Amino acid sequence: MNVFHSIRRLCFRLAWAALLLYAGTPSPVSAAALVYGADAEGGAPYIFPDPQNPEHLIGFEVDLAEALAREMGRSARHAQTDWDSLIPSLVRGDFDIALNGIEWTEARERKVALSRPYYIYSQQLVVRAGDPSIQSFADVSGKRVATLKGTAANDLLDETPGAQPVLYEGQVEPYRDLALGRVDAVLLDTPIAAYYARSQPGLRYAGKPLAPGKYVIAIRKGDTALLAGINAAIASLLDSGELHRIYARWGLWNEAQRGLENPAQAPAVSEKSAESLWFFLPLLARGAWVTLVLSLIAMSLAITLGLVLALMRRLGGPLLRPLAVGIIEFIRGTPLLLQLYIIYYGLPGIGIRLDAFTAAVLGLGINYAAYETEIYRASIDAVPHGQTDAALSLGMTPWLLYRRILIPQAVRTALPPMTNDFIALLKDSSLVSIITIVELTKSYNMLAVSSMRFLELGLLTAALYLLMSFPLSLLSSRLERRLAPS
Amino acid sequence: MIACLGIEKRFGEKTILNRIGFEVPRGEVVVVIGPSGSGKSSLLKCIGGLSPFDRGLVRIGETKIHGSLSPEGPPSAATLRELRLKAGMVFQQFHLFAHMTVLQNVIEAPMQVLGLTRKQAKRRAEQVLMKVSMGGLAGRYPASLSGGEQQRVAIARSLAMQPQCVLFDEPTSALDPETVGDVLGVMKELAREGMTMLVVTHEMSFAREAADRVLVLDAGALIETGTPEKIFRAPDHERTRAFLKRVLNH
Ligand SMILES: Nc1ncnc2c1ncn2[C@@H]1O[C@H](COP(=O)(O)OP(=O)(O)OP(=O)(O)O)[C@@H](O)[C@H]1O
Ligand SMILES: [Mg+2]
Repeated sequence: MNVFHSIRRLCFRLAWAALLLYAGTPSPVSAAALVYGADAEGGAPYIFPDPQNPEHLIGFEVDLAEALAREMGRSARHAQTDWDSLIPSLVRGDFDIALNGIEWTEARERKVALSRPYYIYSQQLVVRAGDPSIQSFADVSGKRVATLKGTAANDLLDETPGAQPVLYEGQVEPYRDLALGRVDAVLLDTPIAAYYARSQPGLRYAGKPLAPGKYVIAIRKGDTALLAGINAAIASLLDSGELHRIYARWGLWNEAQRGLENPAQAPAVSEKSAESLWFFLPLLARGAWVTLVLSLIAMSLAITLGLVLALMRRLGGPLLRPLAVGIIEFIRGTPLLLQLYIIYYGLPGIGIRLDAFTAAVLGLGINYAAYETEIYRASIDAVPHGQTDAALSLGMTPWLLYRRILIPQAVRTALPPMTNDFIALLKDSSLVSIITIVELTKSYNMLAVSSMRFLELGLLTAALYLLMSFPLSLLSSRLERRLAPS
Repeated sequence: MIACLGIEKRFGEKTILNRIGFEVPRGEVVVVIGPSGSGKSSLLKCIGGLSPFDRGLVRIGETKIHGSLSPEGPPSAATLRELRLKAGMVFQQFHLFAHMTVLQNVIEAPMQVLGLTRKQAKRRAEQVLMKVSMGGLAGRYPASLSGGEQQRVAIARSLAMQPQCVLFDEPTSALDPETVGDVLGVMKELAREGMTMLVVTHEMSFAREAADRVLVLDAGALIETGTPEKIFRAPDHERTRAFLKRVLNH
């Protein structure tokens, strides 16, 4: 009977899997499904994987999307998209609407059509319970304040004199780093604070919510019928009390939501899109400077550490040699992104707390060291074996042999590929933005998201990268030519 | 000065050196001949401490190294270095340090290994470069020298370490014919001064003029030894005769 039961369960699961698979295959946007773009990556309480059943997405916006679709006689389907790319993806036609805590701003209004608001949020400052130095937002001057990149809170911090914004991609990490003492406060939308911080021991709310704003749904310009349909559906959910029920279920209902009834009043959110391109250049240049400094330090580390690993591998005993091989294989066999996560978010678990810049330099430097080691190895192998015979026959020790004979000759072979690696590192350094470093790509991303000028700023940013890498390319090909067999 | 006793070396199944034994007394010049692949280079590398062997022993002066499978076991790094310091080596392809000038090539080991000051090393370098008639080219890089010039610098480089003997592995066979004479001249002069030398070469003129004895190697075995006179005129061994015929005829 047990077996029978298991088989039945298996059959059921297979059928269910087939159904999911079918539902998951991309199908043309149809009248039946309302496809909404949203970022489910760490996006509680908006939209996030159900901890009990991670294949299933939950959140107040999931409920909202389903209620809206129901109102419109359609079904709702989620399309996963990074939050930063929601608007460009919408414009490109990847989904019908973008529904994911999108704040109303004038810049967005210019780019896409925005629905009437469905939620009124504010910013809530959260600090460590044991830190009396911040009682309200007025105290953030000189403090490191974490928030999500590209949000209204980000804009608010940018305009607050003295505040030092620290920018994150996800909403879990800011509170974690607050608890670890890496930042002094977190400023985020009330729904996020309510979900993550209200009940977390060791953290407390500082001051009243401030800077209210409105979440709206973005629709392609010209999709006027859909816009009207969405607006009507929101109004109907509001009237029927369904909206209230959804928010209450998630602990998000508050008196401020009364403002949803008359959607006319528009809170002002900062304005960056009307500026000329030159306005952005100093901001991007600052990002480029961070990229350059970071890359230079990381490359120096990679060169040194790579040499140590190479020598361990060549001259090390039965202990050092396998250790070096293990380290190299581990580094080369795992993604840099993962390594950065481990160094920045994982090491505090064993008591090693690095600041973001140190973690970034270490991550990039160690990662590239593994590749530099391989270059050294190939270059040393490229030195004719007779050089070793000659040096040893003159009584040189292995150490002298490497230091005086092999390495100086190998450097010439190694320089061009090392220069190329430096160019690659310059570009890979954009990955460190995930640990809150604002380098060039992140600067671009922030400015583009807030101004909606993805193309022009993208080209400007590309020009800055080229400005840094092109001299290196020239140097590399020059070296290659000079060292070519004569 | 140099003594080999039952040297045996294998690569897997293949026997490269098969119980080789001979001596080179102080001040003597011994020439080694034999067909390609007979093990001449391998023998020299074993004697010079650059290549391990399985059984037997090599002695230079008072320094002994044993085969790695012999009861005494392989030599320590220190013993090996001591042996290498006593035996200078000159290679077919010169192997000058490509990133150093002639002078730097010659003073490098005396300074780094023997701990001489730059001044002492330079004085020594001037002497040995003079001896090989390369005094005027001390500032040049190896790539800008002819093969014969490079080989003479290589000889100077090994002499600067003041070894007790010098091992030559076909020092002239990579050279243009017109520069062979210069290198052989230097070697003959060295022999006249009483340097103990073990020379792999097919230059019969050198063997006749300078060698005290000739060893014939074939397929890893020492098949014949004798004065140049005897080996070239009336070798005992059929294979020696065949080999000499091939070498002398072209
Ligand atoms: N690393 C190695 N692995 C396997 N066999 C080797 C190796 N080195 C040399 N041998 C073999 O050892 C034998 C002796 O080689 P060696 O170079 O000593 O000969 P040789 O007399 O110097 O020849 P030549 O006149 O061509 O220089 C050859 O048969 C060669 O193939
Ligand atoms: Mg040889």
